[in-house]
Amino acid sequence: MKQDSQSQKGLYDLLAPNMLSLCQRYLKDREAAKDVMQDGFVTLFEKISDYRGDGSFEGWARRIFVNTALMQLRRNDALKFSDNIEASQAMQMVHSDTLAKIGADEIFKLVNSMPDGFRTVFNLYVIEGYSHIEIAEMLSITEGASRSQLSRARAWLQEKIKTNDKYD
Amino acid sequence: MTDSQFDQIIREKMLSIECEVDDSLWDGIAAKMAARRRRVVFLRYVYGAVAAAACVALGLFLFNTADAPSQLQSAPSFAAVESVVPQELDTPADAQDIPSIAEQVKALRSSGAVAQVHPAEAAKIAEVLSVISSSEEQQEPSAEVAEEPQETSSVRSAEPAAQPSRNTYRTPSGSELMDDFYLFEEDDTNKDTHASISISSNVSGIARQGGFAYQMAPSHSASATGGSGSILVEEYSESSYSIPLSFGVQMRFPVAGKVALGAGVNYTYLQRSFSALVNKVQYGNASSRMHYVGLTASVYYNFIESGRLSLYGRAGGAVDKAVSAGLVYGDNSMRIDASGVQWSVNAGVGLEYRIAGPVALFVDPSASYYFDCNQPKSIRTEQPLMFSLEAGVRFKMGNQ
Repeated sequence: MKQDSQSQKGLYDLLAPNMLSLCQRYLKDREAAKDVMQDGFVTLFEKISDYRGDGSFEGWARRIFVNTALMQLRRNDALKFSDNIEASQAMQMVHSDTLAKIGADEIFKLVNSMPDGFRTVFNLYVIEGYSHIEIAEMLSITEGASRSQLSRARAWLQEKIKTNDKYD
Repeated sequence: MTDSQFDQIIREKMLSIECEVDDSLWDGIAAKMAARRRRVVFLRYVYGAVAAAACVALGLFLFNTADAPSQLQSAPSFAAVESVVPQELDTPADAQDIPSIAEQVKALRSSGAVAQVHPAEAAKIAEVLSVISSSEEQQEPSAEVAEEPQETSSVRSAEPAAQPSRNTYRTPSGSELMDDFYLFEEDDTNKDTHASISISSNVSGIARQGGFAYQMAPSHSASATGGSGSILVEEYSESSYSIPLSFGVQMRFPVAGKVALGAGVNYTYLQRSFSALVNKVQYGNASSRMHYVGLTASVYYNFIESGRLSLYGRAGGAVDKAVSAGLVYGDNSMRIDASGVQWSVNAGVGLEYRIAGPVALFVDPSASYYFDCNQPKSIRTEQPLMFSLEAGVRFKMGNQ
């Protein structure tokens, strides 16, 4: 038991910085993100015997934390999506040079300030790499709604970058 | 810049961020893990205790019912009356005879079946009648004795399954004649409760060529309608058997590695149809309907466990008790004696598929062999080796 506890602590030290960052991307509130991370680790330690070595361990662990975060968002009633799949307004793309100038922390803050629906789909698709079919299944929405949310999230983020003079 | 290029840059920047983590977070995780472990251990104890209590309760029910002496409120025949008498007395032979005869007298008074009593017994009955009559006239049983029979007991009988009222009778000289002598209350509840047990106790099977005949008494109180005697049922066709229907609840506890133990409770409904002569009246649509409740115990071994699928083997045994057995012919029905229990052994393989979280579906083909155990005729006695296919839902509880 003691050995188990030491191994768990070692795994925690290895994963915790990345997983807390992941949780914070889904939940704006830092304290809520900490709670979700704790619950995620408890689930991970309980389910660790289910890991079959099919893929990377970190990928498997991330999935647990993403699911835990989504459960928390559902509990908070934050996952409400409109099925309106009207395309987002066409707008000029941000220039790559402009984007390169922006620091990671700034991008993190901007993504974090997105509306819940946009942020969730954006995180799942862009950061975690889930497909629209997978996202639709995870969030109980249609594939079209997932595409629409992503498109709007991108437009929202680019608009914020463009309208902020300090990124020019 | 395309969408995917935009996404790629954002992704790289977002993943480069690591948050600082303080030690208090680990303390919280450790505390949550400890609390959950305690809850799992507690739940295991609770589930185990509930399962054990259910098994013990059902076991007591099955075996006590099987061993309890038959009781009769009002008997249709002399033979049936004898079943009322407590079976094990550690007193001289004469003393043992007395309650038997007294019971018979009481029952015979109400049934009017005195004519069936053997002459030698009739003399004894007359003697006891006079003793009882004079006893009742001279001395009523004291309330204290009636309420606290253990204080005056010199002779103790076996305890019947259901408690009738107790009385102590004394000889004219005042000496105690018998103790724990059971008389049954003349209330409807008692009548209904006991009639079905005792009347169905004297069923006997008779093998016949091309059929099966047995003798039984009606399930309704014979004396209530003034009737007496038994009903003869003769089957004159082959039986057709319906597929046995079972459902139940089982708990499985992992014991070591791939081995687990299971215990549970099952209900089974058995039905067969045939043509019969009931007291020489022909019924083409008679059927026997039996409801069994059983306890099962099995050992499981997981052969393969891969992702959501697992393949396992199992072997075990079961003991079933008929909680209700009846014969329906035309608009009539009667109870069939199904005392005792039926033992069986079984083995099979099973396939389990975990659909979500703790919920899994399983199919479990198996073979069972049922021992006869003097049970009423059913598909289990006529075709003891049976193949079955169980299917159901399994819930995984706790951190197992």
